[in-house]
Amino acid sequence: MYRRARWVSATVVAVIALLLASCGPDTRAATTTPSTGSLPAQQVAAHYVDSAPVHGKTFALAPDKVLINFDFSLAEPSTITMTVDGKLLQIGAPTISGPNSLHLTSTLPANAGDGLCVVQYTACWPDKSCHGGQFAFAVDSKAKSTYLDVTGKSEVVIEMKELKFQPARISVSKGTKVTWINREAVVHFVNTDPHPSHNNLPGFNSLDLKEGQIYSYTFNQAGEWAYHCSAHFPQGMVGSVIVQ
Amino acid sequence: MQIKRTRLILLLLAGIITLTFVAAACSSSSPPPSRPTAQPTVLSAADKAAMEQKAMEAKAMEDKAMAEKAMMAKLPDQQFAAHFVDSNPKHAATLAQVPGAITLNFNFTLSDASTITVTRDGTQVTSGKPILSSNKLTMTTTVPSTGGNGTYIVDYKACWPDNSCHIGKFAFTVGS
Repeated sequence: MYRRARWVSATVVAVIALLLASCGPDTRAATTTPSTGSLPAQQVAAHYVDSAPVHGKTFALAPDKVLINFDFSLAEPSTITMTVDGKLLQIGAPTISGPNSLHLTSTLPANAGDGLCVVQYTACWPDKSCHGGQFAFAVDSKAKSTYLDVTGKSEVVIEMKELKFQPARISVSKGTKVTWINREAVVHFVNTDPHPSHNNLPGFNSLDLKEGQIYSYTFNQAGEWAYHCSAHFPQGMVGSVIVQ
Repeated sequence: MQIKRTRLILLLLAGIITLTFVAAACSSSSPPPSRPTAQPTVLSAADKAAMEQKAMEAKAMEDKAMAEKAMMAKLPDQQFAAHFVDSNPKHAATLAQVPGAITLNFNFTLSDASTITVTRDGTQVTSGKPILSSNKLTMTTTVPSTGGNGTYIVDYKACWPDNSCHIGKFAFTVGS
């Protein structure tokens, strides 16, 4: 009799646990513990389009924000959290923006430092359901030595040839006008990350550039601005401008 | 024996109470509507007729609202491909007649791989490659005028110069 009672009690407890687990939003991805020391796999929430920083990239300067784009209207209480080498970083409150509420953004502190950065987000929809995702990038200030230092110049030219930006990585001073010129018979683009939303640095976007055509942009905002050719992005036609 | 039985009862009681709490937390319970208390009244024939007329009008309005709600419920949520600017017709528009064309505007260069598929009440009306404008920022598809009344769903694929593509969706209705 007493054994049966224990069995019934255990069953009741199990049912309660199951019921509690099924309540509330799906936060499994958001609570996943990232592995530090190696880049964790990207986890993509429903309606995710792209993000800046782009998953897997390494930056010489810590970005000023995390921007995640979706193709469905976001709602509260969407969240973003970020760790650097496994330690939680205090970042700005997430904001939903854009004409159709498609962008989720959090500002990052200037002193985030080097390390492996793991961003976890929860995207919520108008019906209050939520989905989690994750991506990662790295900050390595030592990589700055690999950027061509053209600071102090008011104008700089980058050529687009052999499906590359030449030079691909430069450091410029604030206010420098950078001009890209297409030197080959294929159409190229100059577009701010991420692809295809192109909205990390609004305004830093060309349409198609045929051979001989140019595109110019004056960098007035400090930071590192990664960009790419939207036609040859898969072939690795990417570049980056550090503005200081 | 007596102690065992008491423990059994207590355990079961605790289980039932916890289950009740969990069920309450998981369901958005709302209090039942309170019943109006009947007031005995004496009505003249004219008053009765006016009341019946008002009730009929209210019922008609309610039916219309429910029909509109049912129509809206059929519309899927709008989904936006990157660089989508707007469309004609707009999402959730109600049109008196079938539009001759459906136009989608973007702020980035589309590639020839882009497609538009239009269905009306689940039946495909048109599908395939749209016409791209010379600057490749607009794609347009024609809709046969025989399309008829109903709920139109526009599924599109916006493709970029690297031939990566992103899907989007919107819907509109033709007829009341």
